[in-house]
Amino acid sequence: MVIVLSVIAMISAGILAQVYSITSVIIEENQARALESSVFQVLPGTTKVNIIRRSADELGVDDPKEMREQEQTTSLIYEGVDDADRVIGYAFVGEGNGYGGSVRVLVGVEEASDEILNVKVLEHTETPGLGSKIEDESFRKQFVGKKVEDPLKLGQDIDSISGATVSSRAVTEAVRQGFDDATAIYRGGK
Amino acid sequence: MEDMKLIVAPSPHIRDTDRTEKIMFSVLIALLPVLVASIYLFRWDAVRLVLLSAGAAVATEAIFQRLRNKPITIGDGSALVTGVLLGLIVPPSLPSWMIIIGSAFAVAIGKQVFGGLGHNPFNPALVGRAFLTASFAVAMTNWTAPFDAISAATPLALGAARSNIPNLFFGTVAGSLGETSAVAILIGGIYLFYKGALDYRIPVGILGTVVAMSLLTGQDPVFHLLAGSVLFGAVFMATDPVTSPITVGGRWIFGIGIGLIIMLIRIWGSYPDGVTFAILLMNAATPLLNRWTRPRIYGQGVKASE
Amino acid sequence: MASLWKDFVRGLWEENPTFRILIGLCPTLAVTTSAINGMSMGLATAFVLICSSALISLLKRLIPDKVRIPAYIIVIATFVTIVDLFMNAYLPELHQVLGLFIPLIVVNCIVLGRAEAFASKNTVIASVFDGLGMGLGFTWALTLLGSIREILGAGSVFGYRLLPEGATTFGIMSLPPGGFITLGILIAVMNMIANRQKAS
Repeated sequence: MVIVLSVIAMISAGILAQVYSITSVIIEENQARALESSVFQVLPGTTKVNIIRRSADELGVDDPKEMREQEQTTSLIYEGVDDADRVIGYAFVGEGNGYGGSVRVLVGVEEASDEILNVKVLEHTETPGLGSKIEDESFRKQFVGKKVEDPLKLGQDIDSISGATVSSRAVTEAVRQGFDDATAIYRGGK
Repeated sequence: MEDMKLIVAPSPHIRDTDRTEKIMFSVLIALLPVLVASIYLFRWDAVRLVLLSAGAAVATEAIFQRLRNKPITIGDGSALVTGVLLGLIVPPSLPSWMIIIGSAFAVAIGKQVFGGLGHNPFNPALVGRAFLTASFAVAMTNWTAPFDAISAATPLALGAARSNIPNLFFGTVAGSLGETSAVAILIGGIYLFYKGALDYRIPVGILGTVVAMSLLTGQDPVFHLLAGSVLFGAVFMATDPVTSPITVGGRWIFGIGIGLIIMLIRIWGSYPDGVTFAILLMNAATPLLNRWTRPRIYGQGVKASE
Repeated sequence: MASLWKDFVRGLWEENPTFRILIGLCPTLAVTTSAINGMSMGLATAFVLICSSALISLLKRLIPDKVRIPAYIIVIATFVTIVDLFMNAYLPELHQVLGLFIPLIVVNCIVLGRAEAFASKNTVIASVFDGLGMGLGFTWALTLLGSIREILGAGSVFGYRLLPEGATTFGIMSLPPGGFITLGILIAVMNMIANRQKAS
């Protein structure tokens, strides 16, 4: 009885270990590539992404594996540079509480003006057809041009989506939450 | 007749259709002042919404019962009352197709699916309203002012400071068709009481609790009584005999509970008005209240004695 | 092989897990907010069902009766994890949308139920056909439910917009109550059809 169970368990574990080792590489690459392309989207003109860690002043190297590990935390700033190594701006991840769970956004800020260039919703589990409208361009472009000092209050500076107040608030929270920190780190690091 | 099965069902077990029709008729008469006021205030929207809602309700009941090969009971007037009530608690600007769907849903799912009159746990008109609110949130919060149908905020949204008590009393404020004119509702309520179709305990419980809670939290009790749909709900919705407790004690607790929840939602909740949800929540508690307040049968003590 | 065909067809209609046996309802209600979600969930479950039924049937004589449930669960969980990892690697957007519900396939009544009721007592081939039928039955049920909820709640189907942008949609359909109501109505309709079939 015990033997049978143990044998089954061991074989299962063996198979899963194999499958995991094959797929985990691909999964990591996917996530890093997704994040990179997201940064390209929020900082138009970028062709290369550097990582700035909260603890150090130095710029990190954009190694896919490192990006994936650190991607889980929101204390990373991504700097986008173009082909001529000019800095376009920096991007940060913000998180807010939505209706169906966490909403994570990537915010791109222009280097010269400290104004938001673009906001991209990285991940959400909001209601399809309602809260999912936070992905629509018409909602996101309200954030373009806002600065660190702007309060980003729902109902005043930002119009919420009808019937999806909580989802809309999650996005403003997410942007607000990361903005101050990110600007401080980025400017402080220089 | 079906096989003679022993069917277990909640009380009441003896239903008298003659009385049902009489009660429904009284309710419709009692609603006349409200209907007149709403037509005066909201013109064509009032006529349109009430007629469509009533028509859809009665039609749905007839179709449903026909499909199920059950006797058609639309003559008892209960579907008609449900339809009229639902028409009176939606915003005047609600599109016609929405009220038809809401009314059909109220009767089909709020009442017939449970077995028809007397078996539904929730007030069907409120089920319809809750369904509409969840389905069409934007349309259901688009309030207009009386007479000219321009978009306006309701008194509860504006707050006590910016509201005019005489306006609230006579009804010249934004809101749903039935809730605005307090004087019309009161006339209807007195008529129902006089006819014996209304147990005073539930409305008194609700309104008393609303007043008490407003005083306790430093708000204007008169404002809270007149604004929103408290009066309408207390007189016409909470008193539905099917969905409210049958015992005296139960009715007091029912009324107080509703008043409490209304004020909780109004003061600390994110909706401006909490009448719909307060009544629906207490509807859910009705079977429990009935059980808790069951009168003791003579000879059977609470503790088993010798 | 008439009996194999019967094993297959049974799960599609007569003993459809969602509409007639009413099992596996938790993911049914949660995941069917759109047609593609419903279909993907159904197919993932079908895959797990076929593989685990086959393997359990293969091992049925080797697994002692007392430990059969833990043994079945390990087998099922292994296949679910494989599906989860492959989806994450090759279909990351879908994986993110289905999220938590992929691991929950392990405790989906349908999978364990068929293992207990059928796979442990029948041949491998028969178990495969049964798994296929039940899995596809589950899939079409979820796809139907998802399509209805997506059309009414978001105005699109499989991502293709049917209604113009900004048209009023039936908000409640995208929410859990809408799922319950739709499922209830569908079951009533299926019952009606089944009763009429029986009468004729």
